[in-house]
Amino acid sequence: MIVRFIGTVAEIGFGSVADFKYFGQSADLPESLYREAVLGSCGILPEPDFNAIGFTPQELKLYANPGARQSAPDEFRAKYKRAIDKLHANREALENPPVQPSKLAPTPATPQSSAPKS
Amino acid sequence: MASVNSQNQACYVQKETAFATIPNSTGTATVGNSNACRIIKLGTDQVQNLIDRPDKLPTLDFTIGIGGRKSAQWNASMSLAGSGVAGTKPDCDPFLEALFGKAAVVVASTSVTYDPDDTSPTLSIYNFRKPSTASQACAFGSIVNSGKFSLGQDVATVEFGGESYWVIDTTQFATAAADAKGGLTAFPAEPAAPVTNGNMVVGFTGAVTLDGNVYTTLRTANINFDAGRELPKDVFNNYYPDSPAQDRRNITCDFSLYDDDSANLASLKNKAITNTGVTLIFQMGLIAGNIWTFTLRNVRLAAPKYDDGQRKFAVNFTGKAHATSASSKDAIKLQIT
Repeated sequence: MIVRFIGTVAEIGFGSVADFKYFGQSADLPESLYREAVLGSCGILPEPDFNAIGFTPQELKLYANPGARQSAPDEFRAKYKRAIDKLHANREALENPPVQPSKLAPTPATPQSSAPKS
Repeated sequence: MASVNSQNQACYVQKETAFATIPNSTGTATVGNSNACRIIKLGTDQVQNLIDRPDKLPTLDFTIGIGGRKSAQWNASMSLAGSGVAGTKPDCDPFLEALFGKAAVVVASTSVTYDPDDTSPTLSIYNFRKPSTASQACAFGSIVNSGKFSLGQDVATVEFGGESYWVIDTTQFATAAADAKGGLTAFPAEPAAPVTNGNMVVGFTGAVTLDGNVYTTLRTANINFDAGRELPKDVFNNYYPDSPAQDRRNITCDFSLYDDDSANLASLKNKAITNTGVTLIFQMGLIAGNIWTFTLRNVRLAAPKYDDGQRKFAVNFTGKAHATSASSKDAIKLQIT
C-alpha cells in the first residue's frame, strides 16, 4: 500500500525499506509493515487518507521540512492537525481492532418453552 | 570467524505484562519492528556470583566454589528523540514508562505526558548484534532505576539503567534452565525492518524558566531521576531475584549559567540560600513533536557555587525536587509536545 509521511524523520529497516525525510514523502509498504510502523509511532497515513485532507502541491513543497512548518499559515496548520488527528485515529483503530461478529460469543438461544401457550 | 562491530547493535524493548516473562505467544517471542529504539550505547550484563567455601584448609588456596545467585544489570544511552508527531509516543516510551512508573497520558495530536507513580513496570530489552551468528541477548525482568537527561551539549541525551532478572542469550539458550528463558521456547531473530522515528534534539536549543523567569544564559543542565528500585536478591530457595521493590524517588538537578547582576538571578541565589522552593522548567528542543519539557517542582537549591574556569564567571546550582503534598506525586513531570 502507498503511504505518505507526516512526521519529521523516520526510518524503516534503518532506511533500507523506507527512509522518510520530508513531509508528504510516499513509500510502498506491505500492509503488515504499515501496521507495525504505525504501532511503532511512525507518522504515516494511507495515501487515500492523506489525499482526503487536500494538501496542495505548493504546500507540500513549502512545508516539506519541520522548521518551515513552524511558521506555516493557519490554513496549512489546520490541515496538518487534521492529518495528525487521522494518524491518531488510525493508530487507535489498530490498537483496538473492532471485534468481528464471528468472534463474538454466541448469543444464547431463546429457550423454547414446551409449555402450551395459555 | 567474523568479528562483531561495536556500531552494529540494535535495541528493541517491550513492556512485560508479567514480571520476568518475555512477551510471547505460546513460547514464541512477540518482539517486532515496532519495538525498535535507536541507541548510543547498550549494555546487558549477567551477574553470577561464585560462592567460595569458607571452611579452613591446611593450605592457603581457595578450592573451587559453586555458582551463586544470578541477576543482571543493564544500561542504555540514546539521543533524546521524540516521534516527530505531537501526541505520538517516542520510541523510548517503554523506558520512560518504566522509569516514571506508569503509562504516559496521550492527548491526541497534542502531547504525551509522563507523571511519576509508585509502581515498577518491567521490560524485556533485546540486544541484537551483527552478524546474527554472534551472541544475541535479552535482559528480561528489567527495572528502570535511573534516568539522566542532559542538555547544553550538541545532542541532548538520556541515559537509563537498572537491574534485570537475568540476561538470556543465544550462547546459553539451549542449555539454560527454564527460569533463565523468560518463557521463550526459542530465541528470536532480529526483526527485519525496525521502525525508528524522529530526529535528535539539538541540546542547546529550548527554553529555561527558573522560578518564573526565562534565562538565556544557561550553559548546561542535568536532570537525574533515581527511582530507588531494586530486585531483591535474598529470597530463599531461588537463585534469581524477586519482583521489584521501590524506595522513594530522588529527583535532582544541576545546572550552570553565566553569572550576572540581574535582579532575577539575585533572587534565585537568595532563594537557594534561604531554602525557598522554586519551580524549574527545562524545555529541550524547538520543533513540534520533539519538544521535551521537564517541570521540577518545589526544588530546594543548595547554595550557589561560582566557577571562574572560563572567561566569564559561571554560577552552578544543584537542587532536589519535592512533591507538593503527601499524595500529589508532582515532583517531576515530562511533557513531549
